Amino acid sequence: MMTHQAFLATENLSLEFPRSPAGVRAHDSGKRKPVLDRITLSLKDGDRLAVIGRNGSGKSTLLRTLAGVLPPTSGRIWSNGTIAAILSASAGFEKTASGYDNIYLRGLLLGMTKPQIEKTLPSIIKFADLGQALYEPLHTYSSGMVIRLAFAVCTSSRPSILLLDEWIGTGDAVFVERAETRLAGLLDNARIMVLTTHSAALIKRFCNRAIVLEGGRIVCDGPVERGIAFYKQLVAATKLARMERQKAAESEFSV
Amino acid sequence: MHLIASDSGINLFSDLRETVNRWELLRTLSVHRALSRLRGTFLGHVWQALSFAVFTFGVSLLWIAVFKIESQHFLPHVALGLFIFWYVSGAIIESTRSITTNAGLALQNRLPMAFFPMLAVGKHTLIAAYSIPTVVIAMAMDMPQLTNAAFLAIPGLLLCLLLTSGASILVSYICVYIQDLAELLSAIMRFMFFLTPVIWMAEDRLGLSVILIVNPLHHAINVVRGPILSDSGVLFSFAVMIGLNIVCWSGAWLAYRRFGRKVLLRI
Repeated sequence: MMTHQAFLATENLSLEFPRSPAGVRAHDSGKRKPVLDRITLSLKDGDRLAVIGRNGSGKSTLLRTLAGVLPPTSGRIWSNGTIAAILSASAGFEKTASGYDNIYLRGLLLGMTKPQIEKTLPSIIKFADLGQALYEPLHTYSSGMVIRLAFAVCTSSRPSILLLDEWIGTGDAVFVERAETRLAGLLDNARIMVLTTHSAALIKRFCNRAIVLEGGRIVCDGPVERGIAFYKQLVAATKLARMERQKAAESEFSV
Repeated sequence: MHLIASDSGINLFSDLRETVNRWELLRTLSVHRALSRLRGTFLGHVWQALSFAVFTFGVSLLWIAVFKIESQHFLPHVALGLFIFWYVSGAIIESTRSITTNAGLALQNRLPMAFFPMLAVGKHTLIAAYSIPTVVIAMAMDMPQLTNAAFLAIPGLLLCLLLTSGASILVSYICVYIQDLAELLSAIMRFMFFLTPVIWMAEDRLGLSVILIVNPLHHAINVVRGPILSDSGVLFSFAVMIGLNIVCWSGAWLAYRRFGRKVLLRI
């Protein structure tokens, strides 16, 4: 039984990608744009944070930085508790290995030991529902089968801090329903959760706080309803601005 | 409360300790990557040993026939030389791309940075282990007179392993920043095969002594093969290997301290 208080905090967290040698990133200007810009957050026991934002707003980068995968350009991240980050369905899978072997590989990647994996093996196999395909190489699987397997393994660990990227919401309706039920069980154990998603339904069901990211900065922080409403306004404003730009371009062309 | 990320560099030795803590994952992935290409073949793992055996015996017999080599112990000379050369060069070449080719793993999981080059080292250690039967057979076929000095091959092998690990960690970092270096190293290693006394005897080519002195792969081979086959210059090779280890590990320590996990922002 865990007795410590889980905690995850950032202090003026900024991250910018350097210009690559081939000049692939930031090729249009000499300036480097920060992907995360002075993010300060404090999460404690019971916090279920939704990170909302448009594509490219820095949601996945924030999750990777919180997981300690990417280093901040400046700022600090503090934590107390075991962190598990489920960032991608296929990362950590070996395509030439069987689904069965990949359960072990992915489990080890998540920091589980072999006995721990063996203990959870029946529930993983049951949830993945792959039949005899479990013993076939992963490259023979459909994307749905890969997601089922990945989700089954990833949700078998019991971290105190859980970071989930938006791929959780992918898959067919039956899978999403089963995944949500399993996720609810996982969240019972996790003290802190951070979820990036575009799905208002997922946010309302699993989160109690939301932040909206725009250009790498937190532009809204509060209850989920406020976060969702702010995000909707942001999307509407962006659409309007795009339409006006299009209109202006068309009128310029016709002149 | 732990500081899990900051903009500062990382300590190579704590990173290596973390890598050792992920030993089970490292072992499982290394074994899978070394042997996955043999899946579905009739002979399976035997191929790993067979390909080394075919090359060793094939090239030895061909050289003896074509160049009328009369030197004693040519077969164990080639077997031991190839064993070390393929191990060191294979691990280092693969390490040059170890971070970029594992970008998926590196960007989705918090793994220690030394994990990726050590994955290449682990894979090539396993491949080298499959070559041991061939080396033993080659030595049994043309058994050299072993002296007490032959035991020096054990610390020699450890120095080789240490150098391969240090150099692999160093190049894995440098090659993310200077990607051309990976291609250059790969090209140089191919050429080095002919500059290193693997399929020729150093004693026969005294004119090449300068090339041998500056050739690190010659010293890597000489600290293992020299004590067994009573070759010359073994102590000098030991001194060079200790120096090379210091240079490589210091370089790796500096690279980790200077760049830390920032190297991941480049891939």
